This record gives sequence, structure tokens and C-alpha cells, in this order.
Amino acid sequence: MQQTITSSSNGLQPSKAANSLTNALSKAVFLGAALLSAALVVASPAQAQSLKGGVELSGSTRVGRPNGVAPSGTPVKFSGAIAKDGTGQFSGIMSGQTPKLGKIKLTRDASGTYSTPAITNFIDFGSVAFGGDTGKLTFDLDSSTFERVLPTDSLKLVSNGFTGVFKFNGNTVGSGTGSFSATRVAGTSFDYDLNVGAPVPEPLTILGTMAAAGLLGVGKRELDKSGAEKSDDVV
Amino acid sequence: MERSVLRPVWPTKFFHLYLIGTVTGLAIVYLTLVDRIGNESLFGNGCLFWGGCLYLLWQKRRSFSFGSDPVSSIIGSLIVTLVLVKTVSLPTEATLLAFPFTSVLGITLLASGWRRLGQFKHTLLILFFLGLPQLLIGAFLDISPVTAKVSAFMLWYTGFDVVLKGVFVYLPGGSIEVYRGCSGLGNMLYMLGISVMFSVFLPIDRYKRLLAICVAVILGFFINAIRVALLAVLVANSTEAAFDYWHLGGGSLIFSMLTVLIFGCFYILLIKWQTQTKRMDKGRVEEGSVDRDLIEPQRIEL
Repeated sequence: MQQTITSSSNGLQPSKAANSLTNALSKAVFLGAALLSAALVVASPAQAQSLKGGVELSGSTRVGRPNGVAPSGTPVKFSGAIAKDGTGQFSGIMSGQTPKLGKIKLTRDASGTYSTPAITNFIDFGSVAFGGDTGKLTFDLDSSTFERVLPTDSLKLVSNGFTGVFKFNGNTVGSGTGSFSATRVAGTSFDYDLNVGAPVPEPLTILGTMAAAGLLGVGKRELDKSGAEKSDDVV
Repeated sequence: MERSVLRPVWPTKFFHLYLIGTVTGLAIVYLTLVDRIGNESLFGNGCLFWGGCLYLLWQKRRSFSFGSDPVSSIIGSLIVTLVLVKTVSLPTEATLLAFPFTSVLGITLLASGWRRLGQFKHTLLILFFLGLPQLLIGAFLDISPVTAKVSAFMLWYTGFDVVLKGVFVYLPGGSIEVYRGCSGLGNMLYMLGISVMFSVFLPIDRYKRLLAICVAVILGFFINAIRVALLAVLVANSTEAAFDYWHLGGGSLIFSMLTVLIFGCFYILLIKWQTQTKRMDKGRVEEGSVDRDLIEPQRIEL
């Protein structure tokens, strides 16, 4: 008489063939994942670059229907020289470039809020060198809302904070936030101030992490020295 | 009649090497991607948390029981494939925050199935706190007004003529706006992860552990509130360079280190407290047994 007992957690005895198949599958996936991991490390994300910093653009713009109390639409058209001031990576990117701004068509909804639909290539930064490559950098504006602040003699257009994405050669390289404000100078002529950049990051924690690693070592020694009784959780 | 033979279902002699090798590969992919998007904080955390995870796996390698079932294997394979495919295209920060936990969950499902997932609970716990709280809580919660309020209170208490309006803190000479990034939520979640690491590697009583986690999160908030108050003072009285240094430059590093150092010292005190309590209890028990010996009447046979 032959009796083979298999150790299985639930007491069931899966067939030999099923075990072998699952075992082979697991090993194949493990090896596949390891190989794919190595391949990804070697070959992948040169495109995983991201922008840091921001840029402030200012100049003159023309805003339609400035005398209306609450016009149904307000076009904002940019023309003329643009002053620029970049921080972070933008300080390098922006040197020698003249950005171009797209037209914003603000429309008023029933509640009186002005908004613009998403604008592709809202800011065209031109051809720039970034991440060891040269290409076109643009900013796509998400749909945003604006406020139109009266009185008409000092009319102001102020964005409620907008978002968008930076694209380098059509590939997204980072999300962006920004603000826009334009103040009437005379007639349809306005002075504007446009800020756009990467969101303010959290403060760095790398020194904290190193301190934590050191303290874990100190704590482990302390725990061993004290001869504390180890629970199930002890590693 | 032949003898009965106890034979394991899985030949597990070198299986742990497959597991540790694959997790190491995933850690390298993760750290490479984080390095390429230039997130130094996440890179540092990644090194610590993945290192802890691999250390745990290596320490327990002999005790793992392997053997998955087809359903767990398929789910695990799908998770691993999905995670790796997501990293082939441009990885967003959200993908990178979810990557550690989900990828290792897939691998452990493949290795041992969901029935034996408990043996990887510490590994999964550590990797969960590497990124997922930031993804699940950080994206939806904005505590900037609370931070501004606490910072303004600190300034008022120390004698500054401060005015608070929402997230703006005004001082004579300048003002600051507390952005979401500076609200301290990130710092609190970071400290939550660090405290979980401490509680896994330096086990203490459950209540002390809970106390340590609460203290870590509160410390994260208050040290950041002090930083915000300092930044307001710098804006009002100093140069932009000084503000930049303490906001995003080398000065900002000191605050996270200070938070971790205070927490670490507190945790080591908890360990000492626990040791002392146990020694005292042991001493009392021993004294009790000696007293019982003394008090117990002796039978004298006449």
C-alpha cells in the first residue's frame, strides 16, 4: 500500500499537474518580471523628465468690450513685447526666447462667471534645450474661470488660479499652476501679469530620512541591550 | 507496505531567491524612475522603505511558505503586468506613489497566494506607507488654513503684530500665503510612514506604539507650523535669499531632520520606559515569591 501525504494549508490535495502548472507559471512570471525590470531600467524613461521652477510674463494686451458692465464675451488678445523672468529650470530655458501667447475667449455664464475652455499651446516657449534634447516647449491651459472686477475705468480681469500641463515635443513633462491678472490702462489697452510654473513642492526630507535610518540603528541596539522580551512582531 | 512520506507541495529550496530578486528588481525600477523625475524626497524615502522591505524579506526567508493558487496567481500576474506597463509610459507621481505597494502585493500573491499573505504583512505595511497615504489623503485634504492659524497664533504669542486672513499671514513689512505644499500635510504623512517603520523594526507595546504614531504625526504638523511662522518673519524682516534658503533650500532640510530626531529620541525613551517597567514588574514578582516563602508557615513535626 502506498500513501503519500501532501502538506497543504487547507487540507486539500491539489493534483500534481495543477501544482506543477501553477509553480511553473509563478516562476515564469517572477523571471519575466525580473527581466522586464532590468530592461526597463536600461531602456526606459528618458522621457520621465520634469520641469521645476516657474516663469513670470508681463506686457500689454487688448481686452474686448471694456466699457460693458457685464458683456456676454470678453476676448483677450496678446501683442507686443513680453517681459519674462524665469526661476529654476525656466531661467535657463527662457534665455534668448520670445514666448507667444494664445488668445483667450472669455464667455459669461448664467451665474455671471467668466470662463475659458481649455486652450492647447496657450503659451509657446519656442525651441528650447531640455533634458539633453532640443524641442518645442508649450503650456496647455485647462478650462479656467476668471473674475471681471469693475469699475470700468480701472477694470480688472483676474483668474481664479488655473492649471495646465507643460509639453515638450508633445510629451507631458509636468503639471503647472498659475495666475493671470490684467488691469486697464486706457481704452482697450491693459497691462497684464501672467505667472505659470510647477506647483510649490513640499520641503525636502532627505536629511530626515538619513536621520531615521541612523536612529533605527540606535533603537535596535537599545532594544537588544535592554534584553526586552521579544514579541511575535520582532523582526 | 511502503512507508508514508511527508512531501511538501512546493519545492521551496531556492524559491525565496526568486522572490527577493524580483522585489529587488522592482525597487531598482522604482528608484530609477523617481530619480529621473527628480523627486529627491521620494528617492530618499524609497531607499529607506525598500531597504527595510528587502531586509525583512531576507530575515524571514527561511520561514516563508510558498504555494499560490491559480486565482491568486492570475490576479498577482495582472497586478504586476499593469504596474510595469504603467511605468513604460511617462509615470506620473500618482503612479509612483502607488507602485511600491501594488507591485509587491502582486508579487506576494504570486508567491504565496492570498491565504498566506499574512506572512508578508510587515513588508506590505511598510510599502503601503511609502506612498499610498499621500495619494489617498494628500490629494483630497487641504489643511493650509489650520496651518496658517497655528502659525499666526505662535507669532502672536511671541509678540508679533500679526493679522490672519484665511491662508494669508500678514506681518508689518510683509506677508505669506500658506500653499498646500507648505501646509505640513506631506510632513505629517512622512512622519506617519517613519513611525510605522519604527514600530515594525523596534517593536514595543501596542499602546506605546499608537502613542508614538500620534506623536509623530503631531510633531510633523507643529514643526512645519514653526517653519511657516519663521518664513513669515523672514519675509517681513529679511531678504528674499534668506526666505528661499529656509523655504526650499538647505534650510528646509533641517526641519525634517529635526522632526525625525525629536521623534527618534522620544521612541528610544519609550523603549527605555518599557524596559524599566518590565524590570520593575519582574522584580516585584521575584520579591513576591520570596515574601511568600518567608510568610509560609513551616510545619514542625514534634
